[in-house]
Amino acid sequence: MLLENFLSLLQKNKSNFLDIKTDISKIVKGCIDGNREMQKFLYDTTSPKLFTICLRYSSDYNEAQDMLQEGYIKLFKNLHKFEFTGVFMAWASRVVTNNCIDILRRKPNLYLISDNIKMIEESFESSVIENLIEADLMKIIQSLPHGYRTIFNLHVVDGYPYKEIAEMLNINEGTSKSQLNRARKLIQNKIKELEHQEEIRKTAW
Amino acid sequence: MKDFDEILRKKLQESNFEPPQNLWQNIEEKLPKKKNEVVIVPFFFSFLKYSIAASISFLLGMGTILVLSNSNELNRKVVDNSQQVSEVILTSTSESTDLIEQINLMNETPENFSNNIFSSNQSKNANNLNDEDWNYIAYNSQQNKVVVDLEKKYGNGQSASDKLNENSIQTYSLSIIEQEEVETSKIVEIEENSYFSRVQITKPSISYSGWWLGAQTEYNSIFNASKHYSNFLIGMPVGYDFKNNMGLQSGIFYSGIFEPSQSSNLDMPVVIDAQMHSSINVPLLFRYKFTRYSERLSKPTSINLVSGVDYGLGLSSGFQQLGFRAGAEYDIFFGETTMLTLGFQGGFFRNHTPQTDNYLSNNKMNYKIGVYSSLRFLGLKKQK
Repeated sequence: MLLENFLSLLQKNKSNFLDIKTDISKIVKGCIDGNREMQKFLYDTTSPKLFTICLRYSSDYNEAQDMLQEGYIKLFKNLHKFEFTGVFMAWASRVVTNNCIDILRRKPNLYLISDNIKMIEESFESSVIENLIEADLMKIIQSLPHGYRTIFNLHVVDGYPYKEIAEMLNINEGTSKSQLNRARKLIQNKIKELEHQEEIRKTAW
Repeated sequence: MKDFDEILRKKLQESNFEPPQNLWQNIEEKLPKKKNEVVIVPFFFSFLKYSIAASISFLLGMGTILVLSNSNELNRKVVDNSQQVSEVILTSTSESTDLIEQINLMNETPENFSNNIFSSNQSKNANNLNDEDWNYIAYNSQQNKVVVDLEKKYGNGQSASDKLNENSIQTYSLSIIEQEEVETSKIVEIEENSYFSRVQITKPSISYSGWWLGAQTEYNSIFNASKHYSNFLIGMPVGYDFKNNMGLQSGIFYSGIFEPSQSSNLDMPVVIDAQMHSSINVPLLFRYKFTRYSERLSKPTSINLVSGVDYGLGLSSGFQQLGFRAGAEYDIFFGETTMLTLGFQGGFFRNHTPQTDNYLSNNKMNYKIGVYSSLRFLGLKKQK
């Protein structure tokens, strides 16, 4: 009964629920003790958010699944390291992000720079991006070369400073900045393309 | 551009995508069992953990033995004296009596020394020296020297013949000499059973050659341009000393390099999730030995300068290492064929790998410094 209440409340609040320290401490301890129900509960609660992170860092849906699977195994393995002073969701996101970076670092040509990108300065109407469907935006992010995508995610979405990105990826700060600029341009180009296709589709109707 | 970033960040952070339904089953299969069920820990992790603990306790144990053995070494020092007593000093240390004479007897064995004291005393008495008297002779052995305290007084108006009639003085002197003779017999006995019978000692140097084999634990700190790693090794060193002062050494070592996958951030809890790169390493080192007998430790010791190449083959991802290292070792003998070796070293190496990875990146010079300890067993031939 208690668990059902938990779950119904959870459906309303999703990940915010886990920031309540008293509850999360019980769940984390249960997971550390190997309680499958608690582990499943934690998974159900956190997986949509964490899967989104994996989708952002991956190039396709299947790779994101692999990243999430490996990420959860690491998360459960390292749960005892979680200090209850922090926000659990932030900690869990960090574990999964780290895992994504580890997987990407094992890939060859992580920092491939393509010179065929048209570096056109264009101003963007914010409404253009806001009107984008989430799935479309995710596809655009996934279509980036994985070096660009990684740096874009780390800096723009997850807020890592250039210096830390350089240390994490073992590159210099200048490279991470230039890669990010290229990533931005590429995203802009792709959004433009998408917008253009949309216009063609509308006129055809 | 900030607006562009901000809008994208907001949109992406607010997104939620449901993972596929069957993913939890896959994860569950790979999660460890409950605590009361048997959990199989990967061998190398437990192995490394215990090897680190073993090496620390080993060093502490050896340190204790060294300290304790150093505090009660009288008999062994007597053995030292039996080899070659370099200096025997006859002196007076008493403050209450006048110092009359200081005699320095060089290159005397304890036996000869005893006889000399005896004969000297006797001869002095026999010669009827009428201006001096021997009160007592004390015998000490410390720091590889035989020290004899000798007090003598000028006669205070007494004649030599009067003093010679004082039996107590002469009796006391003789009793000391008897004690020395007892010590001398101990010397012979200890010498026959000592480890020096195999490790030939010609003080102040020792010599040994031949094969040796051992067990070694090692810790290295590895640096490259941007990161630091911890490296533990455990293995079997083997060597051949083809001369008293030269040898070659090699061995086979299991090496684990721990690479933290994440550095800390300011505003979030940190997870250091180490990734281990394991390899088998085979060094080939030349060594030059300076052997000596340590009076402080009362043991034969040797300082070795070692240098050579080190080759490693990765077990997980097939990377290869090639490098150079150099260092110094200190060997302390604990028996005829057993020695404790403590060493430190420094060096550099490169990795060669088909993969791109943080630690394993090509074209990156890694530097290392480290310490190691090993227990080595000599396969010596008995030397006469």
